This record gives sequence, C-alpha cells and structure tokens, in this order.
Amino acid sequence: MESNIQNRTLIAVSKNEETYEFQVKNSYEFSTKGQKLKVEIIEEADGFLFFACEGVRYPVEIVSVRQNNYEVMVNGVSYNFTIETPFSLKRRQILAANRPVSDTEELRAPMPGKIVSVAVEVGQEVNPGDTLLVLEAMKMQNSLTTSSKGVVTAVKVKAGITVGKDDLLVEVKKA
Amino acid sequence: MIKSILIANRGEIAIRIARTASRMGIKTYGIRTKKEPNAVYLQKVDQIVDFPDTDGKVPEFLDIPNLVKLAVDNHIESMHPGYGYLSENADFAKACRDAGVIFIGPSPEVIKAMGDKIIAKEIAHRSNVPMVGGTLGGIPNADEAIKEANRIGYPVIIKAATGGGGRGMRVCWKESEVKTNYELCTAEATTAFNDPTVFIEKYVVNPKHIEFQIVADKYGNVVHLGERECSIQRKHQKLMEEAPSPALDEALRAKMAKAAVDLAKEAHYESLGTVEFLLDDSGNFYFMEMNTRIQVEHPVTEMITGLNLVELQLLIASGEKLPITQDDVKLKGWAIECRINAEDVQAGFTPSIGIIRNLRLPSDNNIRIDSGVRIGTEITPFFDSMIAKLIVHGKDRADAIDLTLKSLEHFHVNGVKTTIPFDKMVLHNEVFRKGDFNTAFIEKELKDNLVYQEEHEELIAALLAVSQYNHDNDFAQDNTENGEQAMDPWVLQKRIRHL
Repeated sequence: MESNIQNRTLIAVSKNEETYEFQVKNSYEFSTKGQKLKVEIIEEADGFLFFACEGVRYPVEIVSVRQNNYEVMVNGVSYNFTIETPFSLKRRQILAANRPVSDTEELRAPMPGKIVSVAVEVGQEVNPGDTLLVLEAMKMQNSLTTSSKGVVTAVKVKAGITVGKDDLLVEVKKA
Repeated sequence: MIKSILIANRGEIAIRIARTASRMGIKTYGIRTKKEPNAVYLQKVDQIVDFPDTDGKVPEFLDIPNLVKLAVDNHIESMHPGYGYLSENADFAKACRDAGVIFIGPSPEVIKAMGDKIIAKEIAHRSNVPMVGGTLGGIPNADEAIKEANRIGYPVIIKAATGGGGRGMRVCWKESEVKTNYELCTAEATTAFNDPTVFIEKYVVNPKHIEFQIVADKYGNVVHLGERECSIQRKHQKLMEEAPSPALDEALRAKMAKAAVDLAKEAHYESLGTVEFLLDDSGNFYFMEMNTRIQVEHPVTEMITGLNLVELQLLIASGEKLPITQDDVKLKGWAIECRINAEDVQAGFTPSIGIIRNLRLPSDNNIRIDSGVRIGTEITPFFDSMIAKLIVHGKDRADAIDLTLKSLEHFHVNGVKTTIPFDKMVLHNEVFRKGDFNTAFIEKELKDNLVYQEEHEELIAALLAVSQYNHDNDFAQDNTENGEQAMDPWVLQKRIRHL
C-alpha cells in the first residue's frame, strides 16, 4: 500500500489532448520521463502566487477548479487540463469512443455584451466560419461564427438585447 | 492662465490630465458616473461633480448638453475632452464656446474641417502635402466610381468622407468589385455616419503607420515634436507604439515633419495635433488624416523630448505663446509604449471581464506607468479594455526593447487576462527587433503564436495543475481512488462496460 501511494501516476490532459504524465512521490517531488522535479508553491506577502520548479520561479494563478478540470495561468498565459489517473484516463477514452456525437452546435455568449445584429434566421443553411451574429462588449464588435455546416434551428436573441456569459444564442443542426 | 478645468473623461487619461493641471495650479473637476462611482480617477481630482440622472440612452461622456451644463453650473472655466468620446466632436467644442467655456483643443471649425476627410484632403492639397492619388471630392455614382478607379489604378479604397475606426472603408482589387463596393460603402456611410459621401483613393498595401506630433499656438507658431511609429496594429487598433520610428532617417524625418507643419499652418491649427501618414516600402509617404486631440500614445513623445504635452495644451488654451521653438526640440533616446488591455489574446483578443484581484507594477528608472485601475477595480463591458500603459525610455532601440521586456516580467495582474504575453511576443520577434515591419506585422509574423511562452511552459503548467490536484485530493486518505488502483481487473472491466 505504501509504495502504491508513493508511486501514484497522474496525467494532465490538455485541451488539445496532449498528455503529460507525472509520478507523484509526495507533495513536492514529482518525476516525468525519469526526470526528477522538485516543486514549491510560494505565496508572497502581497498575495501573488509563484510556482518554483527546480529553482526557477514562474508567476502563476489557479484560475478555476471544477472537479478534475484545472485552469492555470503561467506568465499570463492560461492552460486548461483535466487531471486523470491511469484508470480514469482509460474510462475517459472508452467513454469518448462510445459517446454519441451531438448533432447540434450550441453557440453561447463567450462574454456578457449586447447583440448588435443577427445575421441568420431559422432554417438558413450555414457553413463553417459563417458569422451568426455580432456581439458588442467593451466597445468592440465581435463576430461570432459557427464551426459547423448545417441548418439554423433556433435563434434565441435579437438585435439590441443584452446577454450574459454562456447564454444560449443560436443552435445549428449539423448536416 | 486657466483657473479651473472639467475633465470630461475617465480612466488613465483623466488622471494624466489632473496630475499636470494640479501642478500648474489649476483646480481640477472630475465627473462621477453611476457606472463606476469609486473609480481611481476620482481620487486624483480636486473636486468631484456628479453626473445627473438621465434616461441612460446617451453615455455620460458623450452627453454634450449635460457636460456643458456641469461646467456652467459649477462655474468651471474650461473643458478637457481627453481622447475618444467627444474629443474630436466639433459640436461639443462649439457648445462649450457658446456657453463661455474654454474647450481645450482646436476651434470647432478646425475640428470639423479635419474630421471631414474630403476637406482635410483639400487642405493637404493646398499645402502641397503628398497624398495617395485619388479623387478630391465625393463620388456621385457607381459609373463615376469605376471611371475614377480605373484612372487611379488598382488596388483602390473607397472611403466614407466622415468615416473612421475602420468602418465605411472597402478595398477593390479589380474593376468588377467597384460597383458593389461603392454601393455597400455608400449604404454603410449613410447608416453609420449619416452622410453618404464617399471618395476613392489609391490603396497602399501593407504600409507603415507613422504620425507626427505637432503643437501650435494662436500666434501662428507651429513646432513638431518628432514622429511616432504605430504600425503594430490589429483591426486598426494600435497595440504598441514607439518614438522615434526605425523606418525614418534624418532626411525623411525632415521631409515628413515639414509636411506636417505646413499642413497645420494651412489649416490655421491651434493646440496639440497629430498628422498621420502612410509610408510605403520605397520611402514614399502620404497624408492620411489629422487627429485634433491628445493621443493615447503621447507619452512616448514626452519621453524622448522631455516635454509635457498636456502642459503645452493648457498653456495654448490659456492663450499663451508656445514656450519652445523648433530648435529647442531635441529627440533623446528611444521610447516604447505597451497598451496593457484586459483582453484574452488566446481567445482572439476578446474582452476579459472581471475584478482586478491583485496588481503588481514594475518600478525602475526610465519607466512610467499611466494606469486607471487598482486592486478591486471591476473591468466592465461599459468601457474600453485598456487598463494601463507601460512606457519605457532607453538610450537606443535595443536598450528600450530589453528594458520593456524586463518591465513586463515584473508586471503582474490577477483576475483578468491581459495583453502582456502578446507584448512579449512582439518584443521577442526578430523582424520587430530589426525594425523592419509594417501594419501587416501581426498577421504575417505572429499568425497563430500570439502569446509568448517560455520553453517547456506547458509542461510547467501541467505540473502545476497536477501538484494542485494532488494537494486538493489528499490521496493518502482517499480510499476510493486507491481502491480503483487495487481493483480486480475483472471487476474493473465490468464497471467500464456499465458506464
């Protein structure tokens, strides 16, 4: 049991399905591909967080933790990982292979703002890259596009209204 | 001298103006709005006036009658519009003048002339300032547009006379595109600017954007303060500026400066102003437009000239003579400005909204930070995304680049994402460092690598996430997870089948 804990393996899977496998010895000693890495999380007096790895310090931020999903920031650049054990990774891969592919793309508001214009209507055919609507936030107009080829099945907003983050805007049924 | 000033703006520029005005003994007034009643700029003014309750249809800093009324009711002598908002609005300048309030900027007539691109081109033409070939007046119909486009030679650009900010502009690469684009452009100009007038000019492909700072008093003295290089742009939004420009030698600088000064004289210009030029690969430059206000990027000019532009602006508005002559202006060293915007570069520069939970600013000799935020400031969708400007002064360009990078390493913001990793990417780029870039730099040189990442940074991030996960899930006591590891493979398979 003891050795089992010491040699625990944890795998960080990035958004692009890149995997980083680490062996966990204890809370500050890890290794990857045979290389030992000694780490330390340092909170400075003014509250800033630094992550030291083999003596090199990086300014970091733990942006969000949702179950095993971690968004972290290193040098102002954000990274998303899901942390898996060898077992949960296998389960995830099997689930992914068996999951029925959703045939509807849901366009949600990436940020709060105001709908400037809606470029599509229900029943309209769209192609990847087509603008569905324009959302204004911070005086910048952002065209929100579809990544699917298909038909618009629902338009939940109209020009002039304000929306919150993650509000459903348009649904596209993939062809 | 002016004795009191109402600052009709917010954020870092309101603070910037208040700082100089206070030092000159001018009483400063800031405007408190309901959208950010605890904003930092309100701490930097001598007195706060509340913006009145309105139906909210017109944003506070665009509300001409109420802004003028605030000045009149509080017996404030002058109005500073800052940049953006009403800073180039002739009606605002006129409303101030009519109410007996000194507008800090040029006269309404000059603002109007320079704001109308066709009139501005006529003034440039009269002062023999080079312009891209094109029509002098508006184009009455599509047939005329095709005729003119063929005469000028492709590519051409059709522009709305009163347009701006990248709207009401369309490029035509061949004759067949002219008719459609003419019609689209006229329609766009009508809806966006309430003026269907468009004109055609030669389209300069991938130019450099160079602008000259000029300063003029009411006695006809015009002095230029050198140029600024503003080619690092995305969708016509400047992201990083420097002074001087690596693209200019002394001879070209002298020629462009003369053009800028001639134009200002022809326009009977008074106050601070910026003459924008396009510069092509062969060293030909063309007048683009004149901005009749203080610019966001004015600090780089202040760094290399040692002058205070807001001070000059206030002196001129007070009717004083320029305290400097052209011979007094000496350009020293190199300055770079990074606009630190609350934007998520990795998500296509979308606004990053949230609360600034922590902030650490670099501090060193030869660096200046103009900021309008502090810890606790909420970044809302109501205002533009710029939270600070970092301005660095080096002895030469290489020195300025290195010092800027070093300063960015010590510039930390928690709570919102910023453009700092993008700034680092630009400053590390070899083409940028050589100084050989134009307005296509971002799309050509950076493509998909818009943020700077150190070697193995993703691995470090993964390790951080794993170590945090390890911390959050204390394994020594976690029997479920241990149980899974020790589980009989047959049971495991059965569980997987039932997932």
